[in-house]
Amino acid sequence: MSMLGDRRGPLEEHLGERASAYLDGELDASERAAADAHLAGCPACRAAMAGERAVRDAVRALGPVDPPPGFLDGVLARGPQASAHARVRRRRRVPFGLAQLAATAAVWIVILGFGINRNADGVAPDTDGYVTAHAAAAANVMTGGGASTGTNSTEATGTTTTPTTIAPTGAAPLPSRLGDFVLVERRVAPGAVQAVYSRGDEVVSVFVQAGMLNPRALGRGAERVNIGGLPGYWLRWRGNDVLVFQRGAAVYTVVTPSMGDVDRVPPDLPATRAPSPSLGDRFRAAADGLTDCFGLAG
Amino acid sequence: MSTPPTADGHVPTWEEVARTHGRFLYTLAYRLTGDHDDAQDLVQEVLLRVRRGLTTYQAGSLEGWLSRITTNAFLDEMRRRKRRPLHVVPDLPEPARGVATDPESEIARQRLPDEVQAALAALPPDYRAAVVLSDVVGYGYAEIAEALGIPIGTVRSRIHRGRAILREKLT
Repeated sequence: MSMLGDRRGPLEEHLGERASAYLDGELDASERAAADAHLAGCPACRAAMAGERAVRDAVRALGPVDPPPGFLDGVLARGPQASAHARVRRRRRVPFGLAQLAATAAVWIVILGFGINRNADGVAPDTDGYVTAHAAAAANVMTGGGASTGTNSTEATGTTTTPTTIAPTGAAPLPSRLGDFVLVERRVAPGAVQAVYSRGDEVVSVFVQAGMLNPRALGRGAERVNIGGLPGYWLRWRGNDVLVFQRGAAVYTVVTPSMGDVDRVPPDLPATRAPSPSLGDRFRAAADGLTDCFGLAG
Repeated sequence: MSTPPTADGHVPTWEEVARTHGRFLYTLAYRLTGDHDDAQDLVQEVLLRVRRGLTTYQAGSLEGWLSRITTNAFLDEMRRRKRRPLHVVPDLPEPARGVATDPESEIARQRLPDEVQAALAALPPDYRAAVVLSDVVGYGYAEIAEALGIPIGTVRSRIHRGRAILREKLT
């Protein structure tokens, strides 16, 4: 009783490829009657049918998938882009420096809510200016201008703005702490708001600009990276890791001194630096937080 | 599930498509590619094709029209990549071994969406396209045949073989 290739009467012929059509109601009446007659007497075909049905139902049960927040807004703002260059670069792994940034992912939960003006041409972060601004802020922190860990100071000496300046319209106030990181300074950088957080001797600046990111303006050194499903761009600039990404209608640029690539990092990191959830999980959590807190889903 | 098409003959613009069917498009693109980066690229490619008027809009459901464009853009891309080293095929998770029962309840009970998606992503693209059009979009075989430009017998065979591979991977 081979299942393959033999031609017999309809009652004896196994269903083979007709099983799918039977299951999907794609057989005509006479084919279906023949298949029913065969199935009644063929446990093997009934079992095969059950297996195929289970598979089909498992695929049908897959739910809708939400695009990454901001993705469709970005496409609408920029127009759809052919992605040849992104495709080449896409598989790049996120370097370890970004893992440190991800440890501060909660930063981004906070900073949405600035007044937003759309810029149809797309905006580009002033990478060089940001790195300079970050270096100045970090130096200020290190020379005692910033808060020491454990204090709750939100206004450091050297602060150039007041909170009302950085939160023009309906902004959530910047929290004084983000996990282990303490807000030590807020500034207005050229064209953007800068929030400076520190943890021990680690300093991270987050710059927020209204508008839609124009990735081309980042230059050839920027590599597209994928962090837990969120697209972003990473580049090295004067010894810093710079991560740029779109959230809602604002462009975020995170600057922190480069920590080196994964390969160069010893496997045993200090416990305080070892992120327990995966990088992707942290970014997802941050993204969800952004959306939940401010209702600014893409 | 399907949106009444443009009864007045209005051909939707790519912006309208992105606004009203972005989630549908993304779901389809993700089921086909199994990868968020690739899904975003595919969605943009579909919107480009809509914008450039490269596809003839036909009366019928808007989602059907988009499904055709998306599936064909996906297959075009897969053919284009064929010359290159294979992109990463997701590893299938180790199947959870329980007491063997009938395959139907076993698959239904134990398979998580991620596992199903990973198995789907491991199918040959031609089979995957047929299975996705059938079981994600809900197309009949005649519509699939038309969308992919293949005979209906080939549709039948691709769906059957595709499901057979899925079953093997998921059981």
